[in-house]
Amino acid sequence: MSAPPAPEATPAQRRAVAWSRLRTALFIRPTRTALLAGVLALLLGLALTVQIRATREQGLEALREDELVGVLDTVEQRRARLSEEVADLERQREDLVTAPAGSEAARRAAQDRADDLAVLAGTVPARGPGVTMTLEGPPQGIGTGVYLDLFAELRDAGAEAIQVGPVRVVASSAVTESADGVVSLDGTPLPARVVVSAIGEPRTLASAMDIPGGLVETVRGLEGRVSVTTSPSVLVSAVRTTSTLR
Amino acid sequence: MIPVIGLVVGVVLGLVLQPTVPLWAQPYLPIAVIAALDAVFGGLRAVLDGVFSDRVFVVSFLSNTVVAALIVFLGDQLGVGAQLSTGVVVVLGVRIFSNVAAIRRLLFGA
Repeated sequence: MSAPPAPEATPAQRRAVAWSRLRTALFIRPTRTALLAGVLALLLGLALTVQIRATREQGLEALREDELVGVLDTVEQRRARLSEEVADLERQREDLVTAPAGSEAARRAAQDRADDLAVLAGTVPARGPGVTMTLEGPPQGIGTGVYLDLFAELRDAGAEAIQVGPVRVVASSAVTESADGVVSLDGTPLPARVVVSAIGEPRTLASAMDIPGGLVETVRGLEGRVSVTTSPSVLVSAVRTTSTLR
Repeated sequence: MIPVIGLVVGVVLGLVLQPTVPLWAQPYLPIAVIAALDAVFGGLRAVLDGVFSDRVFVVSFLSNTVVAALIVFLGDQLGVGAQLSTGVVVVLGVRIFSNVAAIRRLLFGA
């Protein structure tokens, strides 16, 4: 081992000393502890490659107990939901098979389904519990993004029918903004003060609007005004005509 | 030199034999590997400082890995395994960085 550098050594000298020490260290000096160090280094190399490989093909077995509990819980909930659905469908099937001539129950089921779909597609007016909101935009108007967030949040909260101003909002609805900043919904320009009606579980819908970062906060941040009122009976009167499918 | 050869042989063995990690070692191996890496960088720094000793290296290597695994084991028993593992990794990471910085200064003066 070389002597430590004198305190007054220049940086270049100190560097040279460090390099020479590195070279010296590379010579094989087979003492017992050096061999032991070699074995340990071998184990480290082995563990390193094994662990890297294990991480790449890691499945459930590498998860911790609490993470596994979470996964199990999710699967369990999903199973419960699916078995509920199975029971539902089996009951329906039973009805269809056993009903006299099968026709009445089948007709009723089909009609129920058609009614549900008509509400979702916006081809019939709908009435039910829900919320009514008055959106009063700031002078520069509410941007298209706010409307898109509004629809997404309402749908997430389980809204079955949504009307904005005179327009029924459906799956294919588009919010556009013209060059002079006028926001239109499906081609109908929206006024600065617009009434939004949505049918669904009123409390869920109202709290979905109120969450931090949600619609109410966003619009207030833009210096607009919002009021949300829940009601046991909200009318969504706007309808749209179905276009024939291509 | 011997440790370098050992490391290379270990990596080759791991790649060729492809052993699997035993179940009981799975939570502890990653932390032990990080701790061992810390010992290796500390050893390299000691070499450049001219104070390296095989004996110290072996002892620090073993104690580092054992203590790291022990901390994780204890954390798992106490229900704070994930947080404690993160803490150990952070501490060892900081040490590795400072050792690498010292090595860099010694070899390149920068």
